[in-house]
Amino acid sequence: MKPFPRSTRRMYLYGLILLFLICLPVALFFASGYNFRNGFGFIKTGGIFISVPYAGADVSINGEAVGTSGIVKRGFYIDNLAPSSYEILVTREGLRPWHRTLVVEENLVSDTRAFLIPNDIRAVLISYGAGASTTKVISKSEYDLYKAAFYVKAATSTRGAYGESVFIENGNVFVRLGDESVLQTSNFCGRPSYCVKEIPIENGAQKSLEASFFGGGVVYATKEEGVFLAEADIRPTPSVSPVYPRRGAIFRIIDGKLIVKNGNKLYEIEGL
Amino acid sequence: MENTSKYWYLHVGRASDLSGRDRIIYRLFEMLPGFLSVGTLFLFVALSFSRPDLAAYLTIIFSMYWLFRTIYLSIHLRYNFKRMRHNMALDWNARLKNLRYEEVVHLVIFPFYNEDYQVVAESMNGLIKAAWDPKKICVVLSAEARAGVEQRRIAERIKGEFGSKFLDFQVVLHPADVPGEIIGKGSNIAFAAEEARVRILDPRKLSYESVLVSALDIDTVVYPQYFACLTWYFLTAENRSRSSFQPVPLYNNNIWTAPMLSRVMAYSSSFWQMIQQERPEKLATFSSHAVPFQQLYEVGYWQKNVVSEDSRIFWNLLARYDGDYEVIPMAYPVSMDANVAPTLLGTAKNIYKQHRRWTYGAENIAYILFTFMKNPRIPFAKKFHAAFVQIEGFWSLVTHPLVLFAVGWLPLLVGGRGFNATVLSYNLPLIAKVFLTASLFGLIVCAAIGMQLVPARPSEYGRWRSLQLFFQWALVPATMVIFTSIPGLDAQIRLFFGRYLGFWVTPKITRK
Repeated sequence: MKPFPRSTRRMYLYGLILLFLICLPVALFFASGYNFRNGFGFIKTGGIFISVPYAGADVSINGEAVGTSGIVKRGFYIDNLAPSSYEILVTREGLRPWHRTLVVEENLVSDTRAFLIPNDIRAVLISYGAGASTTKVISKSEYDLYKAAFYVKAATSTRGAYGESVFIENGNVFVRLGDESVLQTSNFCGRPSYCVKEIPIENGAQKSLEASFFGGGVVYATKEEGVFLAEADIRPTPSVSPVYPRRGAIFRIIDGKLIVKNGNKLYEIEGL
Repeated sequence: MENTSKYWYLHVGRASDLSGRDRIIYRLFEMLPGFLSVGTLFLFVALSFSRPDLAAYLTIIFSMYWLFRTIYLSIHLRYNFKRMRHNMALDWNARLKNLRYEEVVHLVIFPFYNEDYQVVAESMNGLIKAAWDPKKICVVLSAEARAGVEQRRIAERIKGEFGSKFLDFQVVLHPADVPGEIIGKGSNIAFAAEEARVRILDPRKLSYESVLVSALDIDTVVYPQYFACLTWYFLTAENRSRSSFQPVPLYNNNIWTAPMLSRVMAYSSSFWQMIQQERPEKLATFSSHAVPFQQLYEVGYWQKNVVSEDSRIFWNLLARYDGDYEVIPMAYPVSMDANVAPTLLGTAKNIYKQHRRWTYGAENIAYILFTFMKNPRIPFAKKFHAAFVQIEGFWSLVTHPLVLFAVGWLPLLVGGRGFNATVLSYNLPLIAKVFLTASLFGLIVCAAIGMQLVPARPSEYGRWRSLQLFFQWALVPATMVIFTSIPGLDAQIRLFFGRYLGFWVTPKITRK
């Protein structure tokens, strides 16, 4: 048997080079977001990426189902979208439906994380010693620890996972990027090409007393209406959910738990 | 030995062997492979920070190139597999009938350091069992003086048991600490070849032109038709006095007892050599190979001052004969030991060191460029092609796996919000994954061919062991980075800084 004939080898080589040269621009154009549409030729497209924190949530864009999240699949990337606004809806049984309006721009991806709040948020009374079956009983020392936490004044700002901070100024709550080096996350960007450094969380007539990052959002207490959990996102329309809507209630986050104080009573917020 | 003053540069080992301008030039050539590889990786890292979009495009181009390269190489691998099987089934002695093969004498040189008696005995048995008259074979067992008395005893025992079966059998003792030599196979077999000339060839009045030298690693067991096949290629070569001969190194001796990691690396090496067999214009001698004695004598034998004497001898000959020298691929195997140590960690360490030694073949680049510069009689096209193949080969060996499986993904981590919001950043992993997944078909080709190259499964192993031989190829992306790219980079960085590598003898443990 003769060695591989040089002519055959050349044929394979040149054939593959030709194929490579044909495929390469197609791959690079596609990678950049270009797409071919009949009648329009090559158009620049964008995409949307939605991450969902739970399995079993249904995702749709403009009313069209995209898929359901699973144990492994928590992200949905939808590409080849023409520049425009898109309505995202994420629903799951037991959670409040989550809406978002995302602007898609050429060659850019709008990404978002569904902020899913349970329907059933409960405030469970905390006591020590004996208590009713609806009461959460803890030790006296732990109870004293919780109480003591409320004697200390809440900080006016706390830092989040990406270096952003939550501030209270003039009775209003904001999330701000600290410095230039902090990685800017998409929730600060009204559209992929335009980002801000500040997200108003509560900027109305009410007077906010304290605020902190909690459960992927911002929990804050107003003098007039109690404790709320809000999503920190500049894009319409961020979710806000009452957690303990009673005038005068304040909160602390102790050992990862959200503890609310109303008068002399302490409550642990469950379900978040 | 012929006066080689016209070719005074033939045995340059490293820059420090030279002086003045030549030394500076050679040193720069030594730095070249490391400069190119580190430079490429540095450029990639720098681009990932400054222009992540460009780095991402490059990663896509690399992954696409990888796919097409895999297809191209797999075609060659499959062809060589078919040819090797064909050659193994042939009766080469029958093919020799019309050729004057009686005058050919085979001189087999085995360098011997600290291997067990059993390893050496099996290699000798391979020679005896070959379908070739042992009385046409001379054997030189070249022990290392530094190895000690026990090894000399083994050598003498081997001579006692096998010596009378061959035309001649010599045990020679390569002295330790000879000035100008580095410890290693090159100095050993160069010494052995000259001893063979003085002790065997001249006394027996054997013509140098008719003696074909097989420089075999001590664990090399030849397949039955090796000598007949080699003789046929020698006698039918277009220009036999300008040709070396390269069998396919298979690592089958201990393949069933070797751990998965060792098997993958062994077959990866074999497959690369099989691919090169079908690309003879890129082929240099490697590991066990054969050279006509006359040419070996004229070139002054293997270099005693380099690590990669097996490939260097080809470049020595190419320079010595003004570019008129080639390697003829035999597409016929010899069997050697896969790299195995008593523990898995030990095996991993040994494989790393072995591959660092092999990839230290980048030291040839400086030699090639220097000799090409000094020898105006070599045609420019030949110089350009040979230099390009070698430089590109060692560059891609180090950089491609690292780019595809590590550095290429850096833009996603350091590209920042500006890049991470682009369609490109989302499409990079998707597109690269498509090309890399498609490239996996190359592994399937490897697995399928590997399954057919292994010797029959010993009775103590079940089917599960056979299945492992197939699925072991899943390790390849990791082994390419850990045992090819990184040792390659290690070797090139050493060359760059002039921290020259010494020869590291791959330990051969007793086969069960």
